[in-house]
Amino acid sequence: MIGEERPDDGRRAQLLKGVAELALLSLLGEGPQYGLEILERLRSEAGVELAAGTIYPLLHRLERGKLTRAEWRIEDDGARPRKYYALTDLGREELASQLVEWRRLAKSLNAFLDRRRTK
Amino acid sequence: MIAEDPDVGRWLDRLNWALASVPAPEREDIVEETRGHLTESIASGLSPHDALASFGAAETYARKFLDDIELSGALGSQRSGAMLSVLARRVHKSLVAAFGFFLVVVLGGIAFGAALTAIVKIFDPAHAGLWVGPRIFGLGITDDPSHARELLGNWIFPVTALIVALCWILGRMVLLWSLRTLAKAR
Repeated sequence: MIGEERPDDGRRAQLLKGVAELALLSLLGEGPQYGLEILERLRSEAGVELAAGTIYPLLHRLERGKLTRAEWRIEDDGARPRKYYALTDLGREELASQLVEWRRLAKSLNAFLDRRRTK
Repeated sequence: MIAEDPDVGRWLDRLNWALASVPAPEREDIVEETRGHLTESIASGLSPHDALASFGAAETYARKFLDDIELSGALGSQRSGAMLSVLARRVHKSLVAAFGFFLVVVLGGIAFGAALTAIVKIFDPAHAGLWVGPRIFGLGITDDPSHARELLGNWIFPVTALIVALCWILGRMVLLWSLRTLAKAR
């Protein structure tokens, strides 16, 4: 059922694991969204290619952790009901905290890597 | 309404079955959300095979939810038995779980040994206690008390209560630390 995994896929998956939650929280910071929409926007706007089998357990964990709240909505276009996720106040605090941490880490790591590249 | 692909239907049945231990409303929520995703993906042109491939095996997909539910449920309840049970099920796949479980077992062994010694002291005071001698030092039961001196006497009971309480508190701290570390690493 699952395609053969390339060596790069495992490395990429490890890298993505750390940033997926931050990217997801950041996206939900814009407003309520549903799973497929989140997946497509993360792919097209952030280059974060998560499998469907990864995003829903992550959304579920955030919901159980009260970082998000979810509600089922029926759209006017007659599509199936969709489960929309939105950030809670706790989720917004977590997003702010993860952003600070990510920016600090990215800045120091970039400086570290740049120093070595110029040598 | 487009008829559901038979492979998708079977996969969703397996997911539903694999999530049997999850309370019905939560299980239905997960299955219906997955069904919606698959239906939309297929309607937008993806083949049923590729749509299902993005979720992996139904049992593996279900396991991700079950792990999260077990872990957050045990941490939420703060019950020692539930936390220990969740930790024990992760011993084979996590160093943190293995280390935490080992520490809890050691602490449990110390508490059990101390409690057993105190109980024996009630019925056989000459052979149970805290022994100090040339080749012996420790709380326990000895066959030959002539080779060592017993230090505690009846103080063994409050000392045992203190040891058991300390082991209980430390054991709970280890359980909470282990599960919180596992939760952060998800």
